[in-house]
Amino acid sequence: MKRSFLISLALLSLASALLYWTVPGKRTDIPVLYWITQDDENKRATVAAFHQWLADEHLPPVELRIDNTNGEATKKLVQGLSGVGSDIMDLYGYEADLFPATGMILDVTEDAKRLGFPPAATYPALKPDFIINGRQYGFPRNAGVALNWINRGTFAKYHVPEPPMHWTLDEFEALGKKFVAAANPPGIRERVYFVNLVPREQLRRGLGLANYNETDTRCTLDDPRNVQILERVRRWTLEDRLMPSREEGEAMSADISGDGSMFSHFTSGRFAMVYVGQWALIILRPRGTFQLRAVEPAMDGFVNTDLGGGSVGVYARTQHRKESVRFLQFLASAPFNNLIVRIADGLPPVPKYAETEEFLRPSDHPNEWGTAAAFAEAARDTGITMSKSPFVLHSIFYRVEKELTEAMISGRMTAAQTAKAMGDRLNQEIALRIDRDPALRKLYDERVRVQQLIDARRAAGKPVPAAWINDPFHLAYYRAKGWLEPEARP
Amino acid sequence: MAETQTPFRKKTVITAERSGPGLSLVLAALSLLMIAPFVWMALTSFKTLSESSDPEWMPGAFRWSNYPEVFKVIPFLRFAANSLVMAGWVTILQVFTSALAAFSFARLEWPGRDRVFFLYLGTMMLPGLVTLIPTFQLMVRLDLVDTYLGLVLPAAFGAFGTFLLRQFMMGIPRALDEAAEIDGASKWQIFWDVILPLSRPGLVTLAIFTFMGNFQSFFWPLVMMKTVDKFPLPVGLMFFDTQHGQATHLLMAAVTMSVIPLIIIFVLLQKQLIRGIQLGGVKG
Amino acid sequence: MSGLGHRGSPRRRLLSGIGFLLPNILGFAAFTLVPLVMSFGIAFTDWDTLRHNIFRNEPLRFVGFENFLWLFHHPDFMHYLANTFFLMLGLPFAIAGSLGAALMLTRVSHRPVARRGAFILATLLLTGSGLLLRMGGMSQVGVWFIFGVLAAISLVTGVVTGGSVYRTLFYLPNFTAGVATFVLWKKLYNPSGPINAALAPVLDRIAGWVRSAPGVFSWGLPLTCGVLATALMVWQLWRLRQHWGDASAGSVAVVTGLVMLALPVGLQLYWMGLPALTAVGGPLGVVLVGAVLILKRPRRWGPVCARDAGLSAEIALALGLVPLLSLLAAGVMWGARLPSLAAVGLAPPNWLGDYDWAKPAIMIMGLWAAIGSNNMILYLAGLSSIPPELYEAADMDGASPLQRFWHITWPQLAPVTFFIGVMGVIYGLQGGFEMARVMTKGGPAGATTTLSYFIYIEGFETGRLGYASAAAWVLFALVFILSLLNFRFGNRSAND
Repeated sequence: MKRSFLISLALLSLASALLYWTVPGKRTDIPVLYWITQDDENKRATVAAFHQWLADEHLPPVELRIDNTNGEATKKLVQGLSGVGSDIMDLYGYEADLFPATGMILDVTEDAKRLGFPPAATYPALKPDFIINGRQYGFPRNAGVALNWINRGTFAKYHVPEPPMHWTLDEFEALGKKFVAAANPPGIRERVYFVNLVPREQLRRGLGLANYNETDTRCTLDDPRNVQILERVRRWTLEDRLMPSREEGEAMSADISGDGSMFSHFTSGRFAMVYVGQWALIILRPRGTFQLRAVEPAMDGFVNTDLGGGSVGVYARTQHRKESVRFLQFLASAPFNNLIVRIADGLPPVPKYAETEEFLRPSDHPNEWGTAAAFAEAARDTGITMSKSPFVLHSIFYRVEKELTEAMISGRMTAAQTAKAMGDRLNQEIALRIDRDPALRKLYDERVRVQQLIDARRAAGKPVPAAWINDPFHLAYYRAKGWLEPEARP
Repeated sequence: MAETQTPFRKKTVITAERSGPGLSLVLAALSLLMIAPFVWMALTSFKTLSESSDPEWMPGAFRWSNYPEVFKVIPFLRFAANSLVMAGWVTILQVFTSALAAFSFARLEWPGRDRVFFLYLGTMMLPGLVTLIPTFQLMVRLDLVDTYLGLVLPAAFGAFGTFLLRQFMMGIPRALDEAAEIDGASKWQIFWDVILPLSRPGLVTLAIFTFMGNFQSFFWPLVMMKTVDKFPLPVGLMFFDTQHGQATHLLMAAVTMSVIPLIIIFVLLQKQLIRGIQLGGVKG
Repeated sequence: MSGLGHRGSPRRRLLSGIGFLLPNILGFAAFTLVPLVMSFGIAFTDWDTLRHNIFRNEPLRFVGFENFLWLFHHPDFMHYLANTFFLMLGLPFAIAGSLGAALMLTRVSHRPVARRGAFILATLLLTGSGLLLRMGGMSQVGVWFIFGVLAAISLVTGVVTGGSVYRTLFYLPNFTAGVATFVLWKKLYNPSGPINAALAPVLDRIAGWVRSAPGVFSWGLPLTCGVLATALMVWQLWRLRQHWGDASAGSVAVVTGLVMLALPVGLQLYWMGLPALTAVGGPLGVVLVGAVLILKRPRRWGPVCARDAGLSAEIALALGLVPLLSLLAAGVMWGARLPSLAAVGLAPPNWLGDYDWAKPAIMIMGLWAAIGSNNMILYLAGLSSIPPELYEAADMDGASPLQRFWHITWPQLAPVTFFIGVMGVIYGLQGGFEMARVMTKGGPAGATTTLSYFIYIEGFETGRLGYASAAAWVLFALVFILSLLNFRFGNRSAND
């Protein structure tokens, strides 16, 4: 036994030495940057384009490597906050304002002005995604807007007219019922659905209700308008069966991450429409040529769409500051934007590239003509970024909203109870956070005072200065309704 | 006590009279049940992506090409080698240090012994998650992040091995060590020449447990490692989660392949286990 | 009793004791103890990774027990606690399963005479599968063919290797990286996946039976179950009285036996719609009354016995009795409803997506993994160290196989069972994190969120490590108490 112990010890030492020496070393001549993002052909194409751009611009060469192990924010957070984060990181959704708040992301306001990727270079509506308190913390990698993709073949198959570009909730319901009746004769094994989901936040916004109030100090989801929307969602899922419930959705898809199956159901006709961004083309194109159209999601009232950018930030403790900031500059450059147009990974961050012929009518894909224009128009005109409050961690918001909606759909709660529970839970969360963080409490108290002023003015029917409103939705809504004070010209 | 025991419901205990081909059949049936998920996994590794979400067990055509494709998507051999070497080191360290410590707890008498043992035991009762961030920050300070050493060290010293070996050692009759002590053996000699060989079943058992457990560890390496080439296999499997969904068929192929070295190691260690038990001759 | 080194000064003994301990305890102190103590301290602060890191180095504020108070105010904390305990219910089955597997494996290796029978069976299976294949074609019956071949192979190899191949086969679940196992089972539990595909025809058949005789089921089933359950409970009560009377069971054993009876009753009441507190409180009250009645009865004969005499017997019996009674209670509850369910058609549940079935699904997976697991190996090692002379002596006394098990095997295995029990409690209560992360993300509306996953969410996703540490130490306290109980009663029986 002792012999085998010693033998295994020797073997292990040998193996470890081998492993250690065969780790591909960093080339010491040029700096190596790590970019936390997803590893797929598009990102690799971006990396190649970046290297090429550096060469073309006669800038010092750099090696950019992709680090693909970010399932959730956990790793980014733990490593970043302990000082060993990666140089460049993708910031998805709520991370875009969470991470800078922790101090982990570099403030690049000055560099942006100097190198040419200031906020003005991209869509104005995207600013909340990478501008916090007036400082810039990154730049968008693309602009994403979600609309309803229509598989024209599916509609034609069941002889149901296609929806118009702009439609109301009642029209949606009517057309949806007509569709599922035509597409699901009795005895059918696999049910055909009208759409995979409806965007609850956008529907609420249509009625003038956002997740929070104007200063993001209170969660407003306990409002009766939310009850209306939730009730509709419940009815459409459980009674009219226009959309699959979570369980039915699970039955249709077996994947944890990504929606590979959603697209296969779209192409095979089990979903007549899917609500997803323009990046769907990346997945749809290899699967065949489908006659596609894109229409707005149905909504009542104020038309709005969900605009989001995948923004990229630089780690505050990076050892390659200059080179990492160059990458942000690259994102505003022509080669990168043309690449995005070509691979259809969302809309290019610089708006003018979304007006090119190549984008609007790609020569290789005539079956898509018209969809790109719809997305570009939505991003420009109706897109609003999601409502986030500095007092609620968005991961908690997302979890609470999703779980409570699921509980409602599985029949455990009514719509009214769900709305109330959402409001209660999230407001409790706000209370907990400001209780803990003195700086946050100060901010909260200031904002509450402003909120009272806003409420007073609204009650009196007087206009409100735009500077008072923090929430991007309310800003757009007020502007559309004419409730804002005319802005002073500088 | 001649009281009759009432029939007691438990999992099937085959009686001696009924064994024979019956027992073999039961075992074969049970093992089929146990490996059924694996059969599914192996079969799925030959399917296409869309087939892998079907309820149908058999693939339409056996796509052997999935296996080479795994090597294209991830550096499988490297990940497997990382896992094997890391788990190997942790095992050796654990077994060795735990044996020493268990000897101290099981055989030696010193003031405060039982209290320290309770401390050991107590540390196992706290969920490892909350100590992860402090441990990680400790690693940062020691500059061991993204190193192989940093992966091995925190896992190599745990209370579990000590507890297990202590139980084993307590089952060895003291008559043997007392005899050796009378012969003038020092404590180290008693440990090395008497107790250690007799605890072979325990040692091998601990080795198996530690190796298997460490091979599967996912969360700690996820947080610790940054260089892709140093990832162990469970973390490496994450590469199959792409933006377009999970490449199930490739994932299953990778997992099937990863099971093979483990089976080999287990079979080898198993032989040791049996030999040790047979040579034990503990009771006398 | 007498350890080594009992001669020599305490100082020398201490030195040699620590000397052996040193390699382990150094690493242990550095990598286990220090972070542990840190996390204990953190539980009393407001550490939020988002505010207390190298960038925003705010001063840490000491908040005393505030974290713990917030914890109990959290609307779902009790729910998650209950989830954690519920998932522990599978532990007795896991122990029983691995013990059973170990017993079978030992027996098989002792009896090589199975050769001829096994070979015959193997040939039959092979021919049968081959015929099926000819008849049905690969795609149709391919699976059955494969299983037939596998069964044949395992039978033959089983005989050739003397049973050790079964050991490997049983241990197979442990070979996959934990994460991979979860992914695998998530796919298996897919509502349109293999498990449901296999269950659906079976359930259809059962629904057919129920539909054809609804009266039998709606009356007969609850009645039979109720009668059986009552009979069992009466028998157990009578038994307890007897044992108390003849001093083979101490007061602790009696109380345990009664509590074990109360559990299924509580479960039944809970299903009938009573709130959890009443459902549990009622039977517990009954238990107290029953205890008083029984314990007040004077001992008629026999000497006074230790307080916890007969405890292990009681617990062992409860392991079988409680699930049985719970099943019967379920039969009473839903037997009446079965016909109406069957009229619509019985469908296999959406396992991981269904609020009521998510936890049982996890437990089934846990049982599969537990049968051929580390515990089985421990039992194998333990079984092989039982001296054969004991069995020979029993055989000479003419003991039946059951008596052999009950009087020799089970007591000899007590140290191993004790170890497995302690470990099972410790790891079981701490578990569920990776499972939830990979498979259910906390489950439909929090059904599979255990305390450990809750700690993960709070500590990692929101960064509130102070809060998460408080939750972890609450969990620690629970584990500690349970282990202490396990120690006091289990260790006693292990050493007698």
